[in-house]
Amino acid sequence: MSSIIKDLPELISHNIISEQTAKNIERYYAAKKEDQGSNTLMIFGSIGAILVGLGIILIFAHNWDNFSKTVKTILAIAPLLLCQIAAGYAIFKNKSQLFKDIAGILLFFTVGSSIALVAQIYNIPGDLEGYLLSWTLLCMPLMYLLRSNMLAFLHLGFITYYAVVAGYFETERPWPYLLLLGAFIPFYLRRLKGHPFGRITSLFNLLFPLSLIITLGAFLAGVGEFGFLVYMALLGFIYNTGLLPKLESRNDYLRLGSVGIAFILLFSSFKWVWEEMETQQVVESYYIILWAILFAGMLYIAIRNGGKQFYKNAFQAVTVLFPVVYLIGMANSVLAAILDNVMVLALGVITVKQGIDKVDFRKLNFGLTIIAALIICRFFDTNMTFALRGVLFVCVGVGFFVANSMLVKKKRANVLNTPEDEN
Amino acid sequence: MKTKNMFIVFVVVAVVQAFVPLKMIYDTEKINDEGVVYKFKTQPIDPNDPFRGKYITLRFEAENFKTTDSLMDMRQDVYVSIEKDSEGYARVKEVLREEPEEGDYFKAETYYFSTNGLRLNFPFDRFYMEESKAPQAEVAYRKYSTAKNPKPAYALVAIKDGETYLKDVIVDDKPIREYVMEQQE
Repeated sequence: MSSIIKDLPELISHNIISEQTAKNIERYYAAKKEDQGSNTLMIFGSIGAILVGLGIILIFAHNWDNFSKTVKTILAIAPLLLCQIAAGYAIFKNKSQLFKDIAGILLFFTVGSSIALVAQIYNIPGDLEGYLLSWTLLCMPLMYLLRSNMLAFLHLGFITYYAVVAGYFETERPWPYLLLLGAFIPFYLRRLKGHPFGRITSLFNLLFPLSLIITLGAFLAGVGEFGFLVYMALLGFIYNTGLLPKLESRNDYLRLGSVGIAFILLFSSFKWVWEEMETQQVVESYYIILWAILFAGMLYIAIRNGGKQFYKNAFQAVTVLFPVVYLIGMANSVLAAILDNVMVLALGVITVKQGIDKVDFRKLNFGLTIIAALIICRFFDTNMTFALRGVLFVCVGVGFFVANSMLVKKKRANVLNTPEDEN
Repeated sequence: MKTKNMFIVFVVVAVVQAFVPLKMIYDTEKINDEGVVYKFKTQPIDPNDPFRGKYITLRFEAENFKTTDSLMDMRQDVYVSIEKDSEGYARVKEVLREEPEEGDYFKAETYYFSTNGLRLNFPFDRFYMEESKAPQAEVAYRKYSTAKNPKPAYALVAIKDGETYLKDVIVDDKPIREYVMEQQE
């Protein structure tokens, strides 16, 4: 890395790269270095603080009988105050990021433990989601005040936990999640702008869309088959976001989006899904609005990315076509099921082809996995004989071997050819 | 933001953070000091909570309210007005949609309606115990309830202005903690 920086003036003087490019390269490595600087110690310090925080909660959850109510109450509040003093000191004296992170994490957990312990001492009723909601709300400003990535991770994790408890285990729609997520977004955007290549940023790029995917279901209780459509719109949105030039090639949006899209298509490739849909009652307008918002968002980003050719990519095309298939399914379940299967197969084949063309093992095997999964799914709703099923499995297995070994050969050939090309 | 402003905002946040548990303590202590104490016949079962630890869930006899009013929505918030029966145990006087102006009452939730009447969910259904004791409390209670002519187990609940505080659970005239410890010996 340092040798590249050293060589920059030479490269500029020989007109190999422009001054602007040189600056960009320098900035890139500076950002990367900065990210690595706050590395090991911070990660382990934070993990330590999280463990201590969780430990405090568990120790208190034991519910010590031998202490009087007053002692218990003091024990509930004292750690909170101590951590507040530590965090306040860290801000006031502008201490190191490590100090801020650890103080912040401990404060985060003591806020939770103090509420839990008081509820325990006084047998105060209350459900888990209400508790998680007040906890995360009370700690929401801390990530900004302490400029702490770790607190932002905790925030994202706990609001997702809240939404799951409220939406999946109870029948509430966790609207406060949106507010709490909104509070996280400016932090995330600042991170994306300041350290686009950082490791922590790429972790955010994974966890943020993951949180959206997990939480959407919490808003969809009772949606029925229409849920496939809503999920497809969200996944299309995530996938297209991953194609944004600012994010491309260093994010998990694409990966999560493409896996999710393939998964939804496979799931909806069963005959019974479409048969049930035919008999489904009218879909509530709430779900339609939710879908429309997500679909419009998806289209907006897709068009911004690729103009009129926004559906060129197979995954993008599928997300646009899926609502059409859904409409067909309302009238004719068999046709819709067939179209769905065709789309999965096409997606698999195109991905395999791209994998071979670009010598990308990951893509190749992803495509093959889609095809294999499609075949397995068809075992359940068609009357294939065991002999035929066996043959199909053998074919797919052989396909994996052949395709991968072909790619290995191709890669070797490329490597061998490259030096000759240069000569 | 400047460090000074940041610090000021933090102090505000910290005050709010501390205010929440302190307010919980204050409110409950007030109910404890000024509320009227009722005994609710109960039976305990043991589950747990990931953050708050082990507790016993209480089911109350009074949660079954004999009524012919089947127009209540399920999972609806209602006001339960309460009185004492001839033996001194709590009994539901009325289930109301509006907050009553006098008498002791608290907020509860309707659960379901059956031929036996209306099933209610009382809010004070969690009694936290040390983790080793909560499961044993359930076992001890089960044994106790199958004995000959046991005195009813009951929960002591202080009620004030519609708010409740579950003070203790009494089995065989003793706090359930003591009862479990005696059984262990």
